[in-house]
This record gives sequence, C-alpha cells and structure tokens, in this order.
Amino acid sequence: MSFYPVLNAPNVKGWVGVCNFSPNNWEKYSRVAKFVNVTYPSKGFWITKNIGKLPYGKYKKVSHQELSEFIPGNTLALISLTLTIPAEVSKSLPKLNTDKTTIPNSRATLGLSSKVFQTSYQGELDPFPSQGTLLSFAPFLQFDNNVKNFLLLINLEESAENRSGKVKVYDANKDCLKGEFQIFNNSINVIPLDELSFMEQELPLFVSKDMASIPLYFSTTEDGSYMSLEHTHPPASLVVHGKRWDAQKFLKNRWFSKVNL
Amino acid sequence: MVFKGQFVIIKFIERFRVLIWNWRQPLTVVPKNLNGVVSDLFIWRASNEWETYFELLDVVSLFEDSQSLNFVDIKIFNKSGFEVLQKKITLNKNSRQLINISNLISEEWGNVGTFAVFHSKNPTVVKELGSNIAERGYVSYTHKNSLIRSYVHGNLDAVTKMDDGKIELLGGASFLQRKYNLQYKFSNDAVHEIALVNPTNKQKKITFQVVSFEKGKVVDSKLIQLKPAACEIFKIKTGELDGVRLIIKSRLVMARPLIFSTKNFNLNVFHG
Repeated sequence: MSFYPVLNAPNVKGWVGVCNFSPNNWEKYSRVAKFVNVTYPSKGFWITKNIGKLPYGKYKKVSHQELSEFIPGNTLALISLTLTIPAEVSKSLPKLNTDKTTIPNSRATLGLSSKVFQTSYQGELDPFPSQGTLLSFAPFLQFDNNVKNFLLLINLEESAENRSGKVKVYDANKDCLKGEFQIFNNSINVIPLDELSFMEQELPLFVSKDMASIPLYFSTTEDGSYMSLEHTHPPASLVVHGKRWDAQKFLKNRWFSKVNL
Repeated sequence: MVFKGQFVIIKFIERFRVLIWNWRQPLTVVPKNLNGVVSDLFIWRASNEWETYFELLDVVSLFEDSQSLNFVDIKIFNKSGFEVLQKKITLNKNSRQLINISNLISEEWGNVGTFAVFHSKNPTVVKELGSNIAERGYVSYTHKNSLIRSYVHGNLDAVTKMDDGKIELLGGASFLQRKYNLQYKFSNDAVHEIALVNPTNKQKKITFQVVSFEKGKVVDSKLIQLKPAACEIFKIKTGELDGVRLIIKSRLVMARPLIFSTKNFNLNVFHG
C-alpha cells in the first residue's frame, strides 16, 4: 500500500482524507480498525508516529495544522493506514503492513482548502527510484490578472538522506529555456509559474534528469475562491498496451536530446 | 488444529477466488488494429451553468517529426451514446490549443454527453512497440462563469477508431457483479454530482447507492440501464450528520466516476 502526502501550496492549507474500507468488493481487505500514521523525514531518518486509529468503514481527515505541532515547517508529511504501527525510526521508508488493491488502487483524498472552498484529487504516492527522471508537458496555465499558477513537484524516495537537483522549463515548440529551479527529494517543491511569462498557446515542458516526481499543477485566484488541481500523466500514459515503458523511455530520450539535457 | 499443507491449500483457494474475478476480464481490451488510435470517453456538460473545454495537444508530434500538420477527429455523443457530431481539427505542433467543446454542442442534444478525441495516426515507433497512441488528456469545466477552469485528466482507453472510421468500445465487462466503493466523503456543504460512462459494447445495469458514514446504512439508491458509450449524472443526496459515501454496483470491471462538487460559483472536479 501507498502513502498519502499532505499537500502544500501558497495561501491554502493541505489535508488528507482517508477511508478504511476497500475500493472494491473482491480484493482482500481486512475489516478491522487500522492505525493512522504520519511519516516524515528528519536528519537522514524516517520518523513515524501513530496519530490515531480508524474503525472499519469510517473516514478521517488529517490536516497540516494538526501535524504542525511535531512536524516542522514545510516538511513532507505522509499519511498511511496500516494493520500494525510501523517502526518509529528507520533509514528507509517503512514497509507498510496493510491491504493492497489494484482495480482500483486504494486512494485517499489529497486536498487544498482556501477560506472559501476546496480542491482535491484522489491519489497515492509510492517512492520513485533515485535514478528516476521527469518529463511533463503541462497545458494547465490559466491567464488572468487575478490568477496564480504553481507547479507542485512531489518527490518521494526510499532513503531519507537529503539531496537536490534541478528542474528546467522549456517552451516545447522552441526548445528555449524559460527557467531553472532547484528541487529537493522527499519534498513538495513549490514553483511559481507566472514569472516564466508563457503565452497562452505555448506549451510548457518540464524536465529533470536528477529526480522523478509527480507534477501537480495548482491554479488559484488570489482570494482562493476558484481553484484547480490536477497532475499531468506520465509519458507512458500517452500509449496503451505493448511496451508502454519503452515508449516512455523513447519519449524521454527524444525530448532530453532536443533540449540538450 | 494446523495440518500439514493447510497454508498451501488456503493460498490455492485464495488464488482461485481471485482468478474468478480476473480470468478473461481485462479492464480494457486490446484494439484489434495496430493502426488503431484510442481515446477516453470524456464527459461534456453544456448549459447555462456549465461549459466544457479540452486541451488539444499534438501527441503524434511528441513522438515523431513530420512535414505536414497532424489533426484530430473529435466525435461527440449524446447522453444515450449516439454519435451526433464529428469534427476534424488541425493541430499546431508542440503547442497548446484550448477548444470550447460546449460551443460545438447543439441544444437539442441535451446538456450532458461524451466525446472522444482521435489522433490522425499511430506513430511508427509506437506501432513498433506493439502499442497504440491514446488520448487520455485534459478536460476542464467552468460552472456559473467561474473565473478559472477546473481540470481533470482522462483515465480509460475506452474507445478506438478503426481504419474505416467506425469506432469500437474497449471497456471490459465482468462476469460477476462488482462494487466500486469511492474512497471519498461527500459532505453537506456542497452539491455533489457524479458522472459515469459505460465504455463497454453492451448495455449495463448500474446501481448507485449512497451510504451514511454514521449509520452505515443506504440512504439513497438509483438503478439505471446504461447503453454503450452512454453516460449518466447522479446527484448525491446529502444531509447525513457525518457525510455519505458512494457505492456503484455493476458488471463493469471498474466503474470509475467523475465527481463534480459545487458550492455557489465554486467547483471541484476530480475522478475516483
């Protein structure tokens, strides 16, 4: 089973909604109360704390605020639902003792709330290999004086050791570099996109050879009345059947070469 | 009392039980035609309150260069799954093209339906990998003229277009009745609607059940017959103290819904 990250973005509050029931009626799922835990990186280790127990059939919302008493600042907080409490301190991400489903995957609601409303998606997060890379074509920017656009790059790796890398932003049509940002592993990297001065017909391309991430795009009006949150597909999702992962490899090699990465 | 081989037997029974649910019941079938291009069946909503947009990307040119411009065929279906419009749109390479799907909709087609976006060809390298190019991209919606669009991506390789232009639905059917238990809490502070598409080539009986978190009991239910490529919008009944959740019963391998939550002018849209 996967982790559920508490999201983080400017002027909104992140939260996770977990449900203790199976998403289907045929894959194995224990009908018992489960432990709700939070795992976060600290000084090269993963720290896990149990924050409650969720009876079978029930729902629990965990907000960033309630975690802030023991998790500092913008540290990545990962919620999990398990049959036993994971080890309190570990060098690698704790292995979660819980049920796993596939059609569909067990998911939680990953949300951001403003004072007015909320935006969310159903998701989960599994660790990326440390040699992973990123290729994201992102047609999500919205253009209005009152609208702010952000990229939330979510990375998770087995090791809690800190490392950093770079993400570069191009106009896909002109292969010209529009910006470059430092990113960190085991983090939600918040990148403001409006300063890159993209035009409406231009297609932003985000690439990194240093780490893989989930690229989540967040748009909001300044007062938080209107929001949008969605991630781009990994390149493998542009094809179906056959050797999809070879197709992803081809696309990454082709575009990394185009931008001389 | 534990006997020798007990765990082997238990494991065998479990494997057999899972096999009943998986054998010859894929989530989607493989298109017969290697030249076939694939699309999701996206939901469109068009009315005084709703507008639907789609981000057209030249996915073919992401894989290969060509001298000529590529295009997409957009096929629009009404709520009952009948094709009502086909439109060809030329694409700009490596650029964004946002189209307003609602502007293509005629009032007589109703205010909800589905649409598919087929790219002009399956790129050579994709064909060589035994794969088919798929459009599962980005729809967005506005509600009551909201200032920004709310995006949601497609999920399923629901339909393929063949060389003769005909379409074939690819959704997998289940032998046994399945439950899709949406892992989400519908609260009382918004209006929630869910949309479901039948991506299979046979009519399906679908039951929507709304269950109270507090009582654990069904507080609302609706049974429909959903034709191939058809869609249905179901409004979630709220009012329960601790919120409600949704169960979708059907013989679809995965009845994944699209959820629209609105509060005045605000909109949150996401898939299960």
